[in-house]
Amino acid sequence: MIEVLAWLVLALPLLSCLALSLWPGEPPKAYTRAVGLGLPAIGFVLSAVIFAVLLGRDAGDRTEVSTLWNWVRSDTLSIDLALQIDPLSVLMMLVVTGVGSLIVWYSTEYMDHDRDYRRFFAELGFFLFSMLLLVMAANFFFLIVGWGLVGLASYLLIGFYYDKPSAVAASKKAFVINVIGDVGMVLAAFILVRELGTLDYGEVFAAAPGEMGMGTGVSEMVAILLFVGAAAKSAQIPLHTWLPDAMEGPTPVSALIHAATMVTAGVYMIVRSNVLYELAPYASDAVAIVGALTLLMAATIAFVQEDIKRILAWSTVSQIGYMIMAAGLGAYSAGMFHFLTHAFFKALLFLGAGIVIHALADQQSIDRMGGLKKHLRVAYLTMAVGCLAIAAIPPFSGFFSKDEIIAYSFAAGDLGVVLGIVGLVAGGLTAFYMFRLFFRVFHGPEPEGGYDVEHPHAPGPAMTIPVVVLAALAAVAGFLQVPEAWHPLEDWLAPAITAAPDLHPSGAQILISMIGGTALALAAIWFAHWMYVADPGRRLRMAGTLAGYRRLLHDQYRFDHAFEAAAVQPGRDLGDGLMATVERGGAQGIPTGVARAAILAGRGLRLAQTGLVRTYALAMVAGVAILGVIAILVVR
Amino acid sequence: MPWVSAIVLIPLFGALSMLFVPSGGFVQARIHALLAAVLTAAFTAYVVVDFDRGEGGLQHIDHLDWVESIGLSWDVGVDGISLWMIALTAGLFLLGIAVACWRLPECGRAYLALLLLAQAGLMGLFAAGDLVLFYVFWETMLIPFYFLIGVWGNEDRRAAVVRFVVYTMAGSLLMLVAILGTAFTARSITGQFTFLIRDLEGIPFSTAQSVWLFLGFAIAFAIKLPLFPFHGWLPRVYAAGPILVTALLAAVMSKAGAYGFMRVGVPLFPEGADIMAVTIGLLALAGIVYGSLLAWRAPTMRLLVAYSSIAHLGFIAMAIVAFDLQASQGAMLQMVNHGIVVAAAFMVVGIINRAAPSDRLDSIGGLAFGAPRLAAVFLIVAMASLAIPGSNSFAGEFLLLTGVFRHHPWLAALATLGIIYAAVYMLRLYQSSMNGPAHGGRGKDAEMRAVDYLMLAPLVLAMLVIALWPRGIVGATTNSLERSISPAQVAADRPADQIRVRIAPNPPPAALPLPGDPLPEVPVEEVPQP
Amino acid sequence: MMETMEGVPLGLYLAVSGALFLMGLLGVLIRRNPLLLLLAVELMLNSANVALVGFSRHWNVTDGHIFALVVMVVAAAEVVIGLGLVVATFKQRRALDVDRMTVLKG
Repeated sequence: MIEVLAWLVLALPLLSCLALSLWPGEPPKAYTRAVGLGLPAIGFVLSAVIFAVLLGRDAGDRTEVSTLWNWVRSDTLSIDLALQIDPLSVLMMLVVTGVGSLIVWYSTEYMDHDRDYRRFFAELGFFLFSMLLLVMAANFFFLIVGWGLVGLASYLLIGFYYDKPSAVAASKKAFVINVIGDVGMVLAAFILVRELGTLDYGEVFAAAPGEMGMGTGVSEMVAILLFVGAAAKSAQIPLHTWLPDAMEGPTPVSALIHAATMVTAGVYMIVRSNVLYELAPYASDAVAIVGALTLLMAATIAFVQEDIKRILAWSTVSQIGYMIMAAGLGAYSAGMFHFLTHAFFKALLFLGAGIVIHALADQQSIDRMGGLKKHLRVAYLTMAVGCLAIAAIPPFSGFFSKDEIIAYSFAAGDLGVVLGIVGLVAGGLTAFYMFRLFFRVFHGPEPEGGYDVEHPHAPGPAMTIPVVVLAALAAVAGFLQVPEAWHPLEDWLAPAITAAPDLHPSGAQILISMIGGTALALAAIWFAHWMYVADPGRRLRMAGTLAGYRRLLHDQYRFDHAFEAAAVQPGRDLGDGLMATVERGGAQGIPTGVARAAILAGRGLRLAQTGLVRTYALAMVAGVAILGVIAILVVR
Repeated sequence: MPWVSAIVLIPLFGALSMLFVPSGGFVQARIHALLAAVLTAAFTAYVVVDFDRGEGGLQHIDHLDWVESIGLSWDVGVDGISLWMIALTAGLFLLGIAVACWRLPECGRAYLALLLLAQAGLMGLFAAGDLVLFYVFWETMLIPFYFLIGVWGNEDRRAAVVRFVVYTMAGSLLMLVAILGTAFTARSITGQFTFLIRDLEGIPFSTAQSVWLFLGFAIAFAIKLPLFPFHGWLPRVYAAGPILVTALLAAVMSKAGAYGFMRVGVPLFPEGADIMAVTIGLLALAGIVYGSLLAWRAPTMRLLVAYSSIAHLGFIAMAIVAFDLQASQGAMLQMVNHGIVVAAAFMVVGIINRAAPSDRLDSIGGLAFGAPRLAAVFLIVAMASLAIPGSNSFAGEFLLLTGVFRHHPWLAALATLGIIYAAVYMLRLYQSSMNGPAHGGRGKDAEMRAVDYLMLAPLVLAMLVIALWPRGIVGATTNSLERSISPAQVAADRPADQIRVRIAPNPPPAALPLPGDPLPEVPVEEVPQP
Repeated sequence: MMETMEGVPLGLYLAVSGALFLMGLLGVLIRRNPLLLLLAVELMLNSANVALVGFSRHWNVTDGHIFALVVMVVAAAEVVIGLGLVVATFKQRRALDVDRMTVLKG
């Protein structure tokens, strides 16, 4: 019964996509809303039913695989079109359909004035379908299929305003980087097929420890290549550069795809493949280190951004860094916990930012904002909740999830201690840049020359309610896991995370992470207040300090330049060079030469054709004579 | 009922019947052409449905001795390798002829007749079970394409088509020599003079014989495929032909080279193929990277698709010489996929050309405003072409590269560069024409019309079906491909558990001369004394 | 009668045939008048007939005779066409010189 429900959950968003895109002409908006929102919402209800059914079963009995048909069978490899329903995928389904539905609801109002209303919801439906396929697939092949299709959905939605050259460029960049990630995943799948002959989760995880071995080159290679995919999708160094540019898409897209769901797919994949990562200690360490570096780097870049969505984008990169770090250190459930709370508070922050942007007629620069507290009451309060949550102030959700990651890091050996300290420091940075945003948008004076609109207008109910719901979730979701008290989430995920190492943070470690984290965050908030609220002129007076470093931050540590110089431009030059030399000269020269030789030969042989019958007769006689001589000489 | 002969002959008769259509009888010409195409497709459908998937050899064989004394015969049939090529040809030519009938160019009778002749040539090539017949059809199909491009192409057509025909002919002359060489060498070993491919399987050629004969065939196939660096004819021809002809040429005729490798080159000369495998694999890899880079920098839309085609066929060539069932099945699937996708891509380019006749990528942009439906179709085609996971091409490339990876990990790993580049150049094609500020032409001119749906809707549908159930195609090829590659697997010293079929040597080992034995005597016909 | 015929050895047949053939060949190569060319061709055909009949006698089978008859028929047909062509050419060009008929020069 839950198998059917699971297929329905997967099919409903696809159905909504088809029902919208196949409608001839522009459908009525009411239809678009009903289909675009209704079907994913039903999907959420069904996911909840599946969750309830699984909850009623024993922990060992919560995994089901449902096969639709055998997709391909070739030699020893057999791939089924199959779904796996287990605690991990159900958690993802709930978040994807739940947060997804809220954001679709929000979009019905946000996108109301846009030209391609129908296309937007069709593409959102396609995204939800792909994301669900990604999290529900029962083998690595369909994981990769979902992986690629969310990349396509993300491409379409980033480039939603396709007449804007910057949006087109951003969508292309996102797509190409994600294809690099896909290739990493595909190569990992090649190795799995070569070593194990299968891609089914169950079979791979059962066979891998025995067949591939602990810490062998093959195991490390698989883990690293899978992480290439994760790094591209989850915007980790050095494949992170597409995510800030992806903010060219409409704000709900940023909230859904580039904050709450798709970009965390990398975390999901690592948690899903925990068996493989536990076989690869070096790769896992590398994953954790990359996560920590990303976390620190993105947090610093967020300091100097002026675009409200780009600040949030960098903060997303940074927060995913936490999750990746946790997963790399073996604290899988902690990573998933942060994924859950992050989905709530980051979606909330983006949707709140969307309200602000909407109210100011698509103005995104925080320089043109300020003092919005009195105009946008709901946004102010909900954003406050979101900022407190991400800054890890108790009792908001981020406090529990982030401190769990840091406490677990402390428990995970020497490397973990170092990375835990990085996480702690970055927590302070997070609090600073988030409250920089918060204070400059809602407090302080109005911008010089006033807002871009006469009067910032408050949003309607379709935009308000989802934000309020998310704010409530962001406020309380942390109580799912309270250290030393209860941990239902960890217990729930246990059947899917079979290989997790036994990490037990001591009481001291938990206390350090909690008190230290909170103290740092409060200090950072105070500092932000001192800079941006207490004396608004201070910011401008301090503009000259650290100019060199700020320039580096503005250039985002020059990753884009490096890519351009190392891969893109040489490729173009090589292509042009080959076109000019090998292609024009060699490759196309061969057929030209052959054709020319044939023409010349014809021109020469033409001379033999005199038109005189007697020449031909003479030639015949000569030929016969020569043949005769040969015959006599040879036969004798 | 000679189904396969009918599939080959119906288009031929259709082409000949145009002679009896009075000039100006365009309705009649259309009826003749459509009837021939529909009948061929129907017969093909019957053969596909009736195909026995458990059988590896030729089925539906029609054998008719022609010149018995020199071993010539009309011998056609289908197996798992030719089945899908025939189906692809039947389907694409049905659509192509339908489109041609809808929008008939000048000299319509000749145009339709030549299309049908081209179809007959291709069908004969794919169905031929006899090397001489194979050669005859190999050359036959050139002639109609020569005229189709030379008469109806653009201003560069003459130069392009002369290069094309002379170059491919030069290659196929080598093949003719190799065919004769094969038959005579085989007679010196078995004492039997035959051109039948199935009788030539398993003949123990010496290493040198195997290599030289393989090379003779391989160069002809490599030019047709085309394998880097034999691709020089391709860009100009694809750019010069009328778009429908270019689409059919790229979709079906380029498969003849790959098909030749699978059908003749690898199974008949396993040792030669094994010795040349690494070279061909590296050339294929070079072709993938080279085609991708040039597609990235190509100035016009047609050239971009043309170079992308070189890259895509590189994958197929690489898989064929991996001698792995999975790789071969992937290659087979990819041959079908590429046929569908590249035909669709060229048709889309043709539609865009309505608004941007210069064909230059920078001459037009923002068409999605006026042509949203074209944008949607084009997106699907572009995504299928760059093999996004979930597309039909991804199914093919995944299988193919997994197979190659088993034996040549680095080759497969480097080939994935082609997947990344594909994203770059296909998005360049898509975005520069569809997205950005509108300029250079009216989008409305490029919106899908009924005639465009006629071709593109079935192609897109086929892409979706294959993406959802590739097993439908892959499953039918298993036994034939096992037969085709197993001698090469033996030659390559693959582990015994990977080799699924052993072809019985022909003739059986007992009849073979041991080294040092005198050659078996050629049977002499007794002449009755007066 | 039988004795006299059997007495003629094959070599003589062939000698006559060869002489006729050479005459015809030289005629074809040297003469410029198409009518004489046709005559020379006839001579060569007849030399072949002599050889055929000679061999036919020698092996004691009748195939050669039959072939000779066929050749005669062909020769007659050929002369008809040839003369027709000559007349047609003469009507057009008012001259009969094969050296001046070079329309087919490549």
